[in-house]
Amino acid sequence: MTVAGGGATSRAEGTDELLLDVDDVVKHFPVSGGALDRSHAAVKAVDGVSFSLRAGETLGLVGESGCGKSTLARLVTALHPVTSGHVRFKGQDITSLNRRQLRPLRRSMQMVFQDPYGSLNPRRRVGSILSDPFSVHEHLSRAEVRRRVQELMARVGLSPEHYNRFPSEFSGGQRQRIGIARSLALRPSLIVCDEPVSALDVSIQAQILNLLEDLQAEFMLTYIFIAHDLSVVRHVSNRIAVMYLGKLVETGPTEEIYLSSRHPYTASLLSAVPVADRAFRSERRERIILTGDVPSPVDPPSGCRFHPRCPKAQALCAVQEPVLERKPGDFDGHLTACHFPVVAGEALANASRQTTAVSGSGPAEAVNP
Amino acid sequence: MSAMRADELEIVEEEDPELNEQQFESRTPWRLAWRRLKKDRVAMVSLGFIVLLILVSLFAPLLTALIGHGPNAQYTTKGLSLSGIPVGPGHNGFLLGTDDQGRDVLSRIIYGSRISLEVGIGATFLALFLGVVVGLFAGYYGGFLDSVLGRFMDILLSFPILLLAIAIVARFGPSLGLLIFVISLFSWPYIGRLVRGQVISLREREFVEAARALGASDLRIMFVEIAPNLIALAVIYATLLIPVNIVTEATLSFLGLGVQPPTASWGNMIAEAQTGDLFTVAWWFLVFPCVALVLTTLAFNLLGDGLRDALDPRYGRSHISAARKVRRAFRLRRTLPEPEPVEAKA
Amino acid sequence: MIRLIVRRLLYLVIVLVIITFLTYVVFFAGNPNNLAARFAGRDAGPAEIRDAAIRLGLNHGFWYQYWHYLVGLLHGNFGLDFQNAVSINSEIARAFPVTASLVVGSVILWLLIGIPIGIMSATHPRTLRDRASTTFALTFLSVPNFVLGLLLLLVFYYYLTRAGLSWFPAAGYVPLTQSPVQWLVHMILPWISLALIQAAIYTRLIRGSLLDVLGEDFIRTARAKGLSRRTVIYKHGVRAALTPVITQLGIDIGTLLAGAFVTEKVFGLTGLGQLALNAIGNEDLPVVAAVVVLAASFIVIMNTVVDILYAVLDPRVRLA
Ligand SMILES: Nc1ncnc2c1ncn2[C@@H]1O[C@H](COP(=O)(O)OP(=O)(O)OP(=O)(O)O)[C@@H](O)[C@H]1O
Ligand code: SF4
Ligand SMILES: [Mg+2]
Repeated sequence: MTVAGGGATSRAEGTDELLLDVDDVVKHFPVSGGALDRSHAAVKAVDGVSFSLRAGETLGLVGESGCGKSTLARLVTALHPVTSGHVRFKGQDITSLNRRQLRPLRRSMQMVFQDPYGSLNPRRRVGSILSDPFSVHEHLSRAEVRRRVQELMARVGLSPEHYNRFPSEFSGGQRQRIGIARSLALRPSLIVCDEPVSALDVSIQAQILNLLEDLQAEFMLTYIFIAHDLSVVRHVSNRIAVMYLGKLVETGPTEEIYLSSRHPYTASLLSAVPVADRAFRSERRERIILTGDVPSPVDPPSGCRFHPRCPKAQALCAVQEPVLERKPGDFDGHLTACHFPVVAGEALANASRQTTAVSGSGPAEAVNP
Repeated sequence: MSAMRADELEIVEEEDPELNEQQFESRTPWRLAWRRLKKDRVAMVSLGFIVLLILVSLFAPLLTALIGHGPNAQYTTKGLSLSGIPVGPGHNGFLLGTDDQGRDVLSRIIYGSRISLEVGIGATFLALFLGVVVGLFAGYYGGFLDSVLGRFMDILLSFPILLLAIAIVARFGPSLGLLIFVISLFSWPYIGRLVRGQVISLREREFVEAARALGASDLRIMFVEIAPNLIALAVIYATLLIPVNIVTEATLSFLGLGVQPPTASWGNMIAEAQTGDLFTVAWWFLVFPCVALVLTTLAFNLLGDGLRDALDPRYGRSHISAARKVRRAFRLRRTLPEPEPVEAKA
Repeated sequence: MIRLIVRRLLYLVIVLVIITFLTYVVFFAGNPNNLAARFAGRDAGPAEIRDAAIRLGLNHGFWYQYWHYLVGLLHGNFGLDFQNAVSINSEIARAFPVTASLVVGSVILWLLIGIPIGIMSATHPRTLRDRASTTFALTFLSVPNFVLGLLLLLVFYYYLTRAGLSWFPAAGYVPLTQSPVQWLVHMILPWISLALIQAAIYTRLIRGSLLDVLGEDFIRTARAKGLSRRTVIYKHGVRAALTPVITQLGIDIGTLLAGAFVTEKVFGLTGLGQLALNAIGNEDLPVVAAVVVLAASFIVIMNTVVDILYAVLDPRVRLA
């Protein structure tokens, strides 16, 4: 799992130091339907996810809206308590720590939030927002705090003279820079970026991505980079993890995933990558349009959670849950949770038609163990 | 980071076509609000009236000296006719006439405004403080604390202030400080409930989570992150609570539970006018304090409504007609003091 | 449903105990000799004060005294008057009908004014009638209760009488049992002054809630089924729209009672409010305490009744 993938990217490949180890974490939000409703329904936002991350690496976490990416991010950064499972950061189990014990760890574990408008307090000046990390963790003189804040602002590409402005006086991209500066202030080793660019104009997205990349090189950062489509993640990640309804369905080195994804869901996501990115898609991939809505995380489908929408689903899929494992012929770090993984050259777009027409008889590779 | 070079700054400074420097100038929340308020004629007239009232009450001694009649001086020869009837408005230098004891009604109204503002604003500030603190804790922590505090506020709200005033004044005797205390004791839950509701929505916002991610303490989150977002709400509803408290003071003084004669307050002036039945022939010393009371109430209500438009971006309409403004102000006055309908609570 | 009622009643009992306790603390806790001295009168000697203390039960502990007081209240006994040493019960019995006449009459009047105008306003939105009712509401909303009362008295009693039209009598109260007509005539102005402001609020409330209800699906369905406009509005719409009105009524009981006390002073009615205010003047604490406990209990009980009524009317509340 910790072996780097074979994709030839220009990115830092990470070191051998295991920074983060996520072990079967689960997060259920109880559903409250009125005070007398004693039922124990729960939103199974994250339902048994494991992965690990080495220092210097970037993991891209991808999945549709509502699949639990942000929740997973909050579990990793100990913003939500886990329902079960463990998160180990630098070897320390952070799930059992209380708030006071977590405090020193907060310095080395930060988050950039999804919404550049919601994540900055609208009634506080930027200088004051950016001095928060120092006021919480360090006892510095006011002048020193101001100097550091302005240094930070400059580093992320903001004019230090804008110290006294309110967030509403900045554009979306500038706000996201403020968010990045805030997470960077205490020189953390891990930054979880929760869709840092999805709220921004395409033209500004690239600037932010470049900034994040520069900062990674400069400060030896480790990223978990969340996105809802694969095109963004490709540029920044060493590895990719694909999530569906609270579970990881496929994980592996970036180029592996791009060139030979095995999970039908990953394949469908890849087929939806915008035209500008066509170069990265092999011709065999036609656009696969998933039918049906994402099922409710309160009552997820039995067996493989993807089966109601999967073009390759068979009877087995509804009964037995596939485990996340290495499929024959794949690299070591490439894991897939599917009974009938996709093979090279397979035309998935037609598979849906096939399975409905010729029900029961699956494609050739259905003989997978 | 320390090895930062100047040229790095320019590369990343992005351009945003939506914003230019001129817009930057006025985009701070408060300046925007003030600009919107300035366009609202009804609110500005009300604000003008209130400022005038405050000046009048501040300079009451100076003004009454200029008029030449103290608030408690009895002008038995100049101020009363031979048969003891008060002098009417405009006669003998009494602009608003005199009362049954030959005192200048205008001077007394001027001094009465001091009491009204002192009690109205003083009690509102106390209520604001209590309401914000309790609302912050109830809304932020939720759960058991919230239900206990919520119930407590409900009980206070459904309880008429008059009964407690009767009880407390009966036991301790009337005084201005006690009056302020009693009024604020019963008005803070209005603020408390509003603040609580606002905090419940604010605590889910991402910037609160960001503060938590930095390791900020609960107190820091409550007072540094959430509290600044309550200022607009507090300003609006404090402005609307002031007239409610002014009327309460006048009512209590009218009943003899508040400011005691001979100190002039609009409430006890009205009460004194009533007792002698002389107001049947000399209407002015009943009617003018009533007018002062109604106008003041009205001005604060209209200003509060204007502030709500100006401070709450969701209602960012600045060109509402004066008639609609008046109408909305009254609808609001009703919605402010009444608690929500019966909750379906366990 | 039963659970809700039981819970509500339990809550009621707790609140009542709290109210009596607080009243007791405010009025009677403290230096017992002080109380006894007041009771014994101005020129009483130490022996007489001691006697009074014993008679008042002040030589017992605080909790015993409170318990004693509570048991007395449960037996409908409010204790003795400091001033005249007469039973407070008889004074309350004299004052209660006055306040009750005032409150009941004005509630009826305000609903009689508020509901029809509110309905008319909602069924003819944005017409001249609607605007007239809005103006009516605004006029009375801006005026404090006692100001309105005094102005009514000034205009309708004094000026009319001076003009030779003695339609309205001077302030005062005539018991219903003595002369129903005189009772009615004497109560009209107090009722109006107390009801108009509330009626103004209720027209707005009913207008709003009826407009909401009329926009809802079941009303449109009823219309589609071919029911006449009248039937729909009066049988379905108004009934649904009255639910929030009932809630509001419960909330307003306290305001109303306070308003009644003020109106009593304006019109010289010797009700509970006047009884309490006079007692304050005489430093007659038990009388004040009796009025406060009575009024507070009344408010809390009315709130409970309204809560339960609301649950009976609105099935959504019952589910919770
Ligand atoms: N605090 C919460 N309480 C209850 N349910 C929650 C809470 N937070 C998230 N959820 C639910 O958990 C599920 C996963 O949400 P999450 O925010 O993690 O999704 P996401 O993948 O980040 O989606 P998006 O791309 O829209 O940000 C959703 O169904 C959401 O409604
Ligand atoms: S396990 Fe079955 S349903 Fe799930 S992804 Fe694989 S083929 Fe599709
Ligand atoms: Mg998210």
